[in-house]
Amino acid sequence: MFLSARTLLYDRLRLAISVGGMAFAVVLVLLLRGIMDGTVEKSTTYIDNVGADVFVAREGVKNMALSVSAVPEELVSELAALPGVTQASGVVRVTVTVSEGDRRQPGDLVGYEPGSGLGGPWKVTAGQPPASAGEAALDSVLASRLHVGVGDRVAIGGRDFVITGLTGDTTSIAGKLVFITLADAQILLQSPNVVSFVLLKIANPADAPSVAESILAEFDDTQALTRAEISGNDRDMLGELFLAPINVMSTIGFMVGLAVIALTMYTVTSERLRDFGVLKAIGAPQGFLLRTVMSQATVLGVAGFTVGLVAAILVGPVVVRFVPDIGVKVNWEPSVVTLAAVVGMSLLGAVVPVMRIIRVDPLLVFRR
Amino acid sequence: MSSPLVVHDVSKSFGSGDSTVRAVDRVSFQVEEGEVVVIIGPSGCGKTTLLSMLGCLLRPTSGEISILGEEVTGLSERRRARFRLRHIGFVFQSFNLISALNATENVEIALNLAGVAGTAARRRVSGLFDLLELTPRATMRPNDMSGGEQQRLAIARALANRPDIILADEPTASLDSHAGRVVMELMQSAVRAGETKSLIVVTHDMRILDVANRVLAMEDGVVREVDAATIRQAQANQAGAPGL
Repeated sequence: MFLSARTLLYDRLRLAISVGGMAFAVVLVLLLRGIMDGTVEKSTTYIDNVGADVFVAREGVKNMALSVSAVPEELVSELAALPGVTQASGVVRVTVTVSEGDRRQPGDLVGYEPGSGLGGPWKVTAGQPPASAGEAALDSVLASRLHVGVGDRVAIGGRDFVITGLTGDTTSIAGKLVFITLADAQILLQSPNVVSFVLLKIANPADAPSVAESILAEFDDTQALTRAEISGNDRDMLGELFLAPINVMSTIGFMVGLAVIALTMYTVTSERLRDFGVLKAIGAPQGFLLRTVMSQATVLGVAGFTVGLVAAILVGPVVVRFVPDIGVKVNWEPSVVTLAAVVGMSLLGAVVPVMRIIRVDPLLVFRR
Repeated sequence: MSSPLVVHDVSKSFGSGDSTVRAVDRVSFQVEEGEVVVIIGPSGCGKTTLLSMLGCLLRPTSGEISILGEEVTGLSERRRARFRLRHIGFVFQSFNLISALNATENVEIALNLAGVAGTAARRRVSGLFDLLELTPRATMRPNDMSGGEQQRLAIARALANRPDIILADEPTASLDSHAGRVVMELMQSAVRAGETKSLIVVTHDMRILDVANRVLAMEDGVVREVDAATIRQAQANQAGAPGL
């Protein structure tokens, strides 16, 4: 083992370049996967934080993102009367354009009943949530892009609103949330007495699945999903949208890593071919020589992975700072898979050097 | 007691048909325990080919080589490697030390390959370094050592597993006369000290003849035994001849 370590450490600059190259490939893979996981997780921020245990929509609607749902508002009071339901509130959710002067940004509008305590913002970073007609709370990232703050006015869907508050943790790739009253939202949509979703709070959240089942059984034309279900559905759908490009980029990352390892191992072995010939001449078994190369490749791969993992964890928050729409979450599961792939890749990269060592003629020791 | 090395009617040819070159031609000799045998001859006469066959690195085209009573020409590659590790030590002209390892590690690796590790290996290295006056160089890399020191280190590696035979290929060719003499004296004393049974040196350096018990002269692949004193006299006459 010390031969492997010493040979790698002999040229420290090359070792640093090799580990750096490998780490770059690992960062690419982990960061892409982390962006996918983080962004998908962030995309369900409304569902996860709004406080509802069950979401009721029009029949067939199983997602909140990229879906259209409309149910009669009277359903809210009917659902509120169900056993186990402690609170019910209707919300309208639709994509709108928010503008201030020449600046325009897309927003994800949420119309909710301010008095209900359900459906509105959960983290107000400045000012107050909207309480009456003509008031709005904007996601803080959206507000900064529009260069507006509390007290300023913006146009939402063509109507004038005053900003009463700014909200945090409400930015995602699916949109930046804009909160107004339910009545204002219904006016904007010209759909009085209609809501997109009914949010239910259950006395015992563990009963949410059975409440959802009873709603499905009792109410025609509705879809009832627990928070975990609708959140999972949204994440799966967005994940699938991400998956193909992420896989392509990950494959490119792996190819880069493989090339780095193969090149490094080939160079190290070529330079040390005479050493291997000497060891063969003095009687080193083939297995020892192969183990030496394999362990070098593995050490190189694991070192590259470790540096890459740490770099990905450190770079993640920096990426989010510059691009708040996305999230970065380096999970342990893809990390373990990446580590296994890196080790496999390292061993694959050692194949050509191994072939050279098998063929090396120990008689080269007599060459001057 | 049987001879550590018996070479019987060994030939080695390269190429085929009209282009066949017979590098070693029906060579027979034996080496006794405690002997230092020097094989001399001009470049290209087949010395290194013969040494490669004695070291189980090359199979003869015909003939037999017995080392410690074991016929080695028919052994598989794997068994020949194991045989080399246990019974043969090599010293090369170009030292062939591993530059990534320090002096101690260069010797330890030979011991480790033979299954000697830890304290036993360190003790053996220490003993060899005392014998070969390398102790102050124990942690140095080969590239930071002089040619003479590198060759002494190569001898330490060759002696590490107490081989029965040491085969040395031009061990003084890369050294100045003083360093060359020191190296040869150390190898000779290793034989006397029982660190190895026999020493076979291939060279065209006539200064080495001083340490030889027997001298074999090789020319065009053929070996004949010669008297060292006669060779030295011939060398001296040649060196003193007018116009030379």
